[in-house]
Amino acid sequence: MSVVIIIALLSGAAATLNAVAGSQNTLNIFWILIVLLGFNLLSFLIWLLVTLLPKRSSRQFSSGPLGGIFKQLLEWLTTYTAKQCAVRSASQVWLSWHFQQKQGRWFLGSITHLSWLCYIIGGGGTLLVVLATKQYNFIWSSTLLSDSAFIYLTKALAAPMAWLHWPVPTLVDVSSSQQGASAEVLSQTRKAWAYFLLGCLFFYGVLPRAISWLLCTALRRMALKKIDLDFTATYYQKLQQHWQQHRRTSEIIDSDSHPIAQNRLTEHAFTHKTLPQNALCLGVELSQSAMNGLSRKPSVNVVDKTTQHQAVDAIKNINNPILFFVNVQKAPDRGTNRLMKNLVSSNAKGVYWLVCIDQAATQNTQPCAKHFFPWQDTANQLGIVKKHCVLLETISEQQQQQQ
Amino acid sequence: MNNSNSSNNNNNNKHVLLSIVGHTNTGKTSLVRTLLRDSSFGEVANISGTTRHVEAAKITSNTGFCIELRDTPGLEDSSALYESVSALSSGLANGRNGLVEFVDTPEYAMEFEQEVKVLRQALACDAILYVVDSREPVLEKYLFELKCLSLAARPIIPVLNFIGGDESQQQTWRSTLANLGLHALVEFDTVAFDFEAEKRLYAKLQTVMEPQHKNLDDFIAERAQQWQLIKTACIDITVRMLVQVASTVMAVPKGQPVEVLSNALQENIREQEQKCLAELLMLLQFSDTDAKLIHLPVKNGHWNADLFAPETLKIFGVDTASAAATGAVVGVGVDLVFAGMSLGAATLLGATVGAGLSATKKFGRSFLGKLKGEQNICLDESTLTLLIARQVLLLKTLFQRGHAAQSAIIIDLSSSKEEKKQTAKIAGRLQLLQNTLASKNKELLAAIQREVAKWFVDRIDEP
Repeated sequence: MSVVIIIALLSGAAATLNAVAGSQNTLNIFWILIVLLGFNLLSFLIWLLVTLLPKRSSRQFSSGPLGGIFKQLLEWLTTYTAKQCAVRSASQVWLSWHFQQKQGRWFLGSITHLSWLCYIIGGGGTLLVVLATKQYNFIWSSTLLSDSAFIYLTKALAAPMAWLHWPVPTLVDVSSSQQGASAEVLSQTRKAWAYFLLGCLFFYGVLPRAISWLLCTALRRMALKKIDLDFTATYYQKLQQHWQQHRRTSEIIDSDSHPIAQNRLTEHAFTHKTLPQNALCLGVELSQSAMNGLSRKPSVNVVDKTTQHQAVDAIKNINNPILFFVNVQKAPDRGTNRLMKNLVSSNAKGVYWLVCIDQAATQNTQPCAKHFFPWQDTANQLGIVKKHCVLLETISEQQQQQQ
Repeated sequence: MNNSNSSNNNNNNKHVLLSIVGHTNTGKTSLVRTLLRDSSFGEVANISGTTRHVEAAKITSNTGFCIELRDTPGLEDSSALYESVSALSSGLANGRNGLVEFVDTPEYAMEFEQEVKVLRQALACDAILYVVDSREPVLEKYLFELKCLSLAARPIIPVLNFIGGDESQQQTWRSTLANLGLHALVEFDTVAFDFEAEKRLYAKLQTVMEPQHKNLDDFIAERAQQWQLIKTACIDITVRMLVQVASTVMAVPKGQPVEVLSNALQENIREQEQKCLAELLMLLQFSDTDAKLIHLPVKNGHWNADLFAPETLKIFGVDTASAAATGAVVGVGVDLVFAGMSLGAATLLGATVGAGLSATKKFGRSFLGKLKGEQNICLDESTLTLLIARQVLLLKTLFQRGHAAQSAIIIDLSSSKEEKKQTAKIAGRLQLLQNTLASKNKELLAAIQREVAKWFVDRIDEP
């Protein structure tokens, strides 16, 4: 908006300077009024006409034909320039807010009136500076109008100024200006014409535009109070989701004070070695379906204190290899590691194997390295040699039934 | 962390603090992600100890009611934890005070750093959501965890995650939890999302948090409304894209190879589909990598600008009644101009050409193009059918996808004959828009949009 105001002020000033530049010491009052008020009057009449035209009573955009063009232009700009979906949605909300229903008409009206107001103020201000710094004579004449009609016109135009007791042109001033101001004119006459010119700008330019601007602004505010945005519209949902995404913040309220180094092994071997015969097979926290998939059933599946004691008893004093069957899909935790450490420590001389059973591998999925690495870590911690840490594909119950 | 949070929260009746706890790798962070609809929350991996801190996030309703979710590290060394808590002189017998003493003991804070973080949150919260991987067997260590948590004297709601698996295992969990007096459990799959399950979770909270009953009621209603609006918006975006795609018609200048423009058409359609996908992902708060579309095998269909096709004439009848009346007068002359064109229903020559004249005002370009020997290309029926079927599948998949799901969606099609028939029918409706006259008719456009949207709703809602 401020850009529009600045442009309007500068345009007014430039137009006045241009109108004044052609004349040396003589100003044509008609010409200056046309430059500053002519197009303004035309646009004011168009606005008045559009405003007074019967309106469609709907929730649709009803900002008149100009508003429609303006809205279309904005829509086009936002659709093609806004890369982000949220920006496009925000533009649509903005357009709905400003242009839906009556407020669009008053919004555009207020922008138009403010622009012209600034244009006239810019022009009037420049004229004031020019008149204050240089002496001009004025021409105020007509070929078509009779003398009496011309004098009547001058009086009519000066009427508001006369009410305020401003100096207005007298008959002498009119006749002297009609003669092209070639003769010596009194300084009072020049002053009268200068006041007339500025008065015309004020009463026929600034005042109607200022009143219209205030009126449009007030009406727009009233309309905005009654506005009913469609919160179910797609663009609003998009914007709301975007806001939520950006508004949502998470906060770490109890941080990890001793971060452990993620010392994962980087190599793995999906070896399907032949498991040693005559080995003691022990399950570690296996589900029933995992147990069922094994061709060699573990003698004990360690799931609680009791089975842990049974396993310890079985491991003690055994010379055969000991096979721990674990589910590769379930990553080991500190509790599992502690449990297995306890088991291993019950027979320090034992030869241990860690057999990671993978039911998922047979279900048309590839064995996943990231599942295997943690178990290799565990094997490492337990002192199980790398070649004894193996992956074993098994068949699930479901597959067994299918077969 | 201070334990006075709970009393503060109780004073604020618009705030509920939930601690999400459970054994390691059971999907606690996944649950928070799904409830928040935020796939960027925390870190999810199939490795123990992925979350090693406590992270909080809030879900706020329009009424100001807020549910704070605190994601905690997984309990790992549960058996040892239970033994240590039991070993305390004031341990199990003193309940909450015993647990407070345990978390305040520096020796335990060192040995059970992660577990102590969890217990602190259990003490501080209004309710505990205990997440269970229901595929896992019921092990003693899980029972130890529940016993330790119960010392916090806060309501515990077990959440059975990954419920798509072994039914018998879930039954074991249910009966075990019931034996422990935990009847208010909820089944909630964080990967296969079901909004009804989310509603049930909040409803379970109502049963254990009576003072928050009204707030939770409003909260559930608001979440349900939001979910419905988002689903509707997703369908709307899809239908608009389909309308846009269906009505995309490109003119091939005479003498130019069709292939050049057909490639441009294909690219245009792909772009529109990708744009639609990006908008859907944004609406449903998934990341761009969540879905990857396989390249759509777009075929271009040759389209003759037959403005006198029966469907088009219907619209002509409405728009050009007066023009049809005067058509007989100018019929012959105009007919010569249009010689060689496929006039379709040209038996009523005068009336038809009269209508044609009126249409020419609006669609002069099409006529002009035809006279110049231009050929128009647009999407053919089979490709459009495929595109629709794909969109149905995409929406269905996205609506049932939890924010914790880690695998990308790969859209592939395999549908029954009946489904294909239905899809082809709706594609036929959309193909009406390939006629310039129809695509410019706002009422017809709106009617087709409504029809397609309704069809989408029916298809997505069907089991």
